[in-house]
Amino acid sequence: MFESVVPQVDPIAVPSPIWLIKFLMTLTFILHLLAMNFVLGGGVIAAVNEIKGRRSGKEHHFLLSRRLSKALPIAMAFTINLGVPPLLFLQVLYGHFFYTSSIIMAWPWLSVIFFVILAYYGYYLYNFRFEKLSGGRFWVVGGSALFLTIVAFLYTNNMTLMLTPSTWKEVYVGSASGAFLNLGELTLIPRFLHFFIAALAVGGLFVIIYGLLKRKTEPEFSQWAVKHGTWWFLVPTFIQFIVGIIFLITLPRDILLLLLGDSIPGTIFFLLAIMGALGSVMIFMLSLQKDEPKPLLYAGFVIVLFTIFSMVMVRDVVRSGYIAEYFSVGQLEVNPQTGIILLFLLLFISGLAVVGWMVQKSIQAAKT
Amino acid sequence: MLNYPVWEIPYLGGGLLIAIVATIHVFIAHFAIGGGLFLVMTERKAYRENDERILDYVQRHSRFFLLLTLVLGAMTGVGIWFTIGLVSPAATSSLISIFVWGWAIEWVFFFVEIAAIIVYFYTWRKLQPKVHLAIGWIYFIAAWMSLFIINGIVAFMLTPGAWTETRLFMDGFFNPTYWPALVSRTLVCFALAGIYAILTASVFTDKELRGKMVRYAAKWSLPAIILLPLSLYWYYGSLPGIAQEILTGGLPFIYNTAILSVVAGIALFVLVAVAAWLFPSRVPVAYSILLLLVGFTVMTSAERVREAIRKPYVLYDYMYTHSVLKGEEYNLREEGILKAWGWGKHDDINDDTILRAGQDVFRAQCMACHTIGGYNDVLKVSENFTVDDLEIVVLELEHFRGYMPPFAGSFDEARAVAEYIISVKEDRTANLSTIRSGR
Repeated sequence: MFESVVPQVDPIAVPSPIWLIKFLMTLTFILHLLAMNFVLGGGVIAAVNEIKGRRSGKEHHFLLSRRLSKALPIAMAFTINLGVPPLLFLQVLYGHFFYTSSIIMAWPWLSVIFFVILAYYGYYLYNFRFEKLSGGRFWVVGGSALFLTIVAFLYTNNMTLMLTPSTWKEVYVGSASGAFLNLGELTLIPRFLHFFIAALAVGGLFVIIYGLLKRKTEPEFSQWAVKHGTWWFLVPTFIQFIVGIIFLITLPRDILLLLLGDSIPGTIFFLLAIMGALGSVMIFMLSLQKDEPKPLLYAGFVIVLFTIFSMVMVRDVVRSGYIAEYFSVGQLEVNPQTGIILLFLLLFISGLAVVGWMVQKSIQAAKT
Repeated sequence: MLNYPVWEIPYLGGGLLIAIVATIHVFIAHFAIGGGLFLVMTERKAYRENDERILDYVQRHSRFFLLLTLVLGAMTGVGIWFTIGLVSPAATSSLISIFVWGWAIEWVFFFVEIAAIIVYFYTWRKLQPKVHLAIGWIYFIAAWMSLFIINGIVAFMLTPGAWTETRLFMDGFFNPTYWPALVSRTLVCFALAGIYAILTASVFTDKELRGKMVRYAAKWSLPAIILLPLSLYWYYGSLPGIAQEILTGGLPFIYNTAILSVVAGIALFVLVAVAAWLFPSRVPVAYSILLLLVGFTVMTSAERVREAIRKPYVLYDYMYTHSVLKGEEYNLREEGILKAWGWGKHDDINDDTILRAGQDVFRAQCMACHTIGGYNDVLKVSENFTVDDLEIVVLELEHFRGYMPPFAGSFDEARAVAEYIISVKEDRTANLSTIRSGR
């Protein structure tokens, strides 16, 4: 056995208040999760609908796949873009954990880039060659979804490995070749499944939203899509209750206790997340029986967003708990660059305004 | 020192791995900027000349542009970030700590950039020309602004300027090579816009239009290629003395690479000019691919030189290539590198542990640049050395081998790493002769 080694904190002070970094990290991570859920869950949904369409001959399945094919590559661009800030801020706060675990699994980690490129081109192929591909469509979109699933699995490997410094040195002394995967980690598979299944459920929500947008122009398809999306949310979420419980019991005891009373924010956000998950399931189930499900669906969206927020907060408590014996962000030296921070905020808001204007123009263009 | 484990990459070594990812990225990313202006200017040209064929060509060109820059360009950019974090975690960590808000601002421009190119691409012929052009302009401005930001951080690595004293963001950002590097890179953007356009013209257009578009595209490349030497000369003048020395012959390999870049640049100019004046309407696809390859050679060798003249630092005047902070080497000579690094198998060096300790010292101090049996092979550079010779050279690296950082470890550790390297060499020679005699 080797003692745990955690690299030193960078001697350069963090040029920002910690709360601002945490706030932006949380915000952009949630946005990234939503976009990621769409490209992963949406890809799986498109693939399944390809098969269902072929088996049942029902037009709606193909129509949904076709519409998804157009949205997937665009969502991919934003998933990548929105993945940048949380990873940047993660490196500011936890770089000495993250770089180390990345090095230990260097080749698998680097292969993320390769798999994302493959998945991305697959989605463009699926979009631009939809008609020509015909029978090959399932394989193309399914392949992309599979590559993204691999990416998710590799991320789970790194995000768990970075939390367990006690395992690092033994692996590294054995081999510095960076070919490691964190397969010995008990929480690895439940944690991966927890994220993957959530992506399917949230992917279902995007189908509902799309259905709602088409109420006036394609009423019949709209009604079908809303129902179809609701099932995509419900079934994975039922499975999620089992996966979630397994994930919980595989957590080390002291971390689990953080969510059951030892940490006040941990306990509160955990409770809220559970209540949110249960509440959203009930609301979406109820919506299936309503002739006018819209108000219930909107309520459901809000609750799901709130649940995702709570879960991200729980994740933060779990992360801090894992590494508490080595480090807490409070130890970081801080020396804010106020002028640059203000410049960033100004540019950020202007950027949003410019993008808003362009989106408005493209909606106009789509209508004409 | 920032004590990260060091990743062992067979044959390539970390530097070459970064170079591979980075050269693919820069060759697409510079096109993503210059090509953005090319899109708007050419679309405008089509409207002004009321030429449907040109409009049709730009639209097709924009699809190629989208698929190349948005997917491969963006992902290799993320790829560089992943790679430098794996190969030089300490330097990456410092760049992020110093410039978090620079990176964050660059992300904003990246966000606007991708939104703009997507809207631009999907609204062809659906928006009023004026609005569509405006979106193209937004794309180009955001793309160039992302260069404006990243250029400060890239140039900082070689010339941190007053930052090493003041530790102020702006001093590090607008550093001595900032402006010449920005001008040079902007010129490269336009040069690449032209040669990529020759490629798409040779694929998408008929003979009649091709002649026109190739000449038009050449007007993007040729002036930029002519101006480039001037801005590079300005850049050269802003470099630290040692970097100038390496560039002008201090390291023959680097000098040769710089010469290659210049020769390829001249060749590119001639090839583009010949195509535009002699056979613009008959430029074959193979010829335009040749132009891209020559352009790739220019850029790859120039970026390679820029990386190499940073020796012996990874962040100039602040952090050596082996991640030891400048000035820290004195302490580490007392204390020993293995203890400070923490990733070695043994804490103390004795007859039993010396080879393994030597291997660990090699990982901690040498592997940032050297491999065993691959690129920058340590066995080759110590070819005729005995253990004693090597030990002396290791202890006096900065004197015996200019441009290498000082060895930051104890006498015992210098001995251990020398023993280790020579033992690997002897093992290999022994294996080789066994194989030979076996035959």
